[in-house]
Amino acid sequence: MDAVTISILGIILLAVLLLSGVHIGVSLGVVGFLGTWMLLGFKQALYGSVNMFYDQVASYSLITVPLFIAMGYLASAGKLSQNIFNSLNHWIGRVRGGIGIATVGSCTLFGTICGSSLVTSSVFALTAAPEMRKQGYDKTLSYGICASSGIIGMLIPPSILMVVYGVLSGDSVGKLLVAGITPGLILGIFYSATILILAKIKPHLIEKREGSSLPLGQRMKELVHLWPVFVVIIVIFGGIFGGVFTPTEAGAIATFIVLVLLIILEKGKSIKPIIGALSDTARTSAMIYLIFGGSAIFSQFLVLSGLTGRFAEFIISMNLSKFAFMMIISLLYLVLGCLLESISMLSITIPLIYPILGPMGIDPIWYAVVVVVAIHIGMITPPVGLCVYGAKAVAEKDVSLEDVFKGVAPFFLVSLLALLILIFIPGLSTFLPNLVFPW
Amino acid sequence: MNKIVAYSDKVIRFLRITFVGISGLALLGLTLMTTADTFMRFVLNAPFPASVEISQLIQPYIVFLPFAYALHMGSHVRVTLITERFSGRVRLFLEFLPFLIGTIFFAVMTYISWIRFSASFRIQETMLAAIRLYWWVGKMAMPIGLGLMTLECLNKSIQTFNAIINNKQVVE
Repeated sequence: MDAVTISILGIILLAVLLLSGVHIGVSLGVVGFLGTWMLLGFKQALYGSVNMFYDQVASYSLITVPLFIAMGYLASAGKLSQNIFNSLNHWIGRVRGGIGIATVGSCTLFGTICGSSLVTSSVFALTAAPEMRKQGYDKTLSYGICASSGIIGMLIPPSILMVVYGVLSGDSVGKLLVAGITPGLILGIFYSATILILAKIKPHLIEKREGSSLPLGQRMKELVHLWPVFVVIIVIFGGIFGGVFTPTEAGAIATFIVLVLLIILEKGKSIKPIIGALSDTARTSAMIYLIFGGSAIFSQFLVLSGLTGRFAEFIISMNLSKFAFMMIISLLYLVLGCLLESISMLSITIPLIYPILGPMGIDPIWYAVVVVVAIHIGMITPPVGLCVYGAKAVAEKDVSLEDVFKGVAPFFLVSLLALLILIFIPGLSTFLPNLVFPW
Repeated sequence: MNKIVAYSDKVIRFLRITFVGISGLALLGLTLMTTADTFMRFVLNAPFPASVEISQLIQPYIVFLPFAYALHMGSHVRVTLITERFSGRVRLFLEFLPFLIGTIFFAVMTYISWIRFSASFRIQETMLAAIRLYWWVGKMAMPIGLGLMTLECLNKSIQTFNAIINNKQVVE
């Protein structure tokens, strides 16, 4: 049996294992090991697989991931999210649709201290959605806004998915983090506009004018509560983008600051949330790293089989334009998003697709932005819409999963529009990274 | 049989919690060390020696030790699109399969990683760093974490298998 046939059989076996409910990291590892065994022999496969697994998991660049995760959990354990929401709500809450826009803005700001869309969606579904309902918002819209806006938090640095993408592809993590800013802001603006339009054309979704009127002085005072966010923003943005320290160091320092803030702001009640945040970090990191380890074994098998090279030749021979290629890739990720979660999708597809980018003349940063946005859209589509599940998990009792998916629908369409814009205007993705990192 | 399962459950639970605690402390330690190192480098121009290498030795403890905890909490990702459509014994069998495959996979990984660790320990394999650091310190985390993961998978396999042969609808 030749190497390419073995690799195709391997991919079929992977699909069977995945659909049988075998854990994704294990499926990738088992298929990678069996394939390498067929290609190189038992002993080489055994030791090669364990070496790949360990080297991937212990790689220095990946230390950033648990640090960013810890920062997110620590931030959500304190009152930071509530303070952000209150401050923005008092400024724009009086406009029809204002609380919804304040939630979108809060998710964007919270995204600077939390790199996880799932955490962001859940935190705001817990804090902002009940407030929106009190002010006359329909339950579908309230939770739809929170579930959708979570994905903005995942694009704004520090984005865990961008770090993962950088580690798997070998691209500059710093550049990728900067590249997430523009699509994050575009989505934020689009979502806010959607809420305003919905308030106009479907007034039953937002029944009455909301928001309490606070004097200007008091609203200014409310902004003071945002200082912890700005400290973290300065550390992360200033540190990484100013070349002062690496993303790993920025992750550690920002985690340290959020930890200290939690201890100060919670005044003696911080032990329990800190323990909770650390165990959540351990659980989430273990989940992500098992996929990393498995994907390292699987990638090794694909490279050894030569399938990646053949696949690249095949795609190049189709003479697709860059835009057609990007459209097909986006569609692929949107479909995969119905079956797999984000990191699994990247782990499986990057080894296969990334080698094509160079020969096709596609800017890897542009590609990364389009892929990450497409993956994020998958996080609000059924049946694996993780952000929707995250919002539903903390929602009030009368809110069903269908309600949240219904509320997400307009934001899904708007996100598709944003994705098309990012595909057809590559400069939107590459402008900022090229400006910050001209070398 | 039930007594053995109950006892192993207790032991695994104790190890699981201990390992998560160590992982959390390792993360805190890494955070503090990296922050202090950055501060020392910029303010005093005196960075810690080999902080990157020390981080590489700490990281495996942050990651490998909570593998079993994540499995117990149902955090390891799987596609349940098809399996959740079944019920009763078919569903139980589909639950049993991932744990059985996991047990075999992690048992093999544990054994080989133990060989790697012991070889590194025997020759006192050192890292290229400003101070003397041993690779085996980091490599030890892999067989420990995966060993517990193997036990967790085995425990869940036995519980699911018990439910299947006793004609139960769910695992107790």
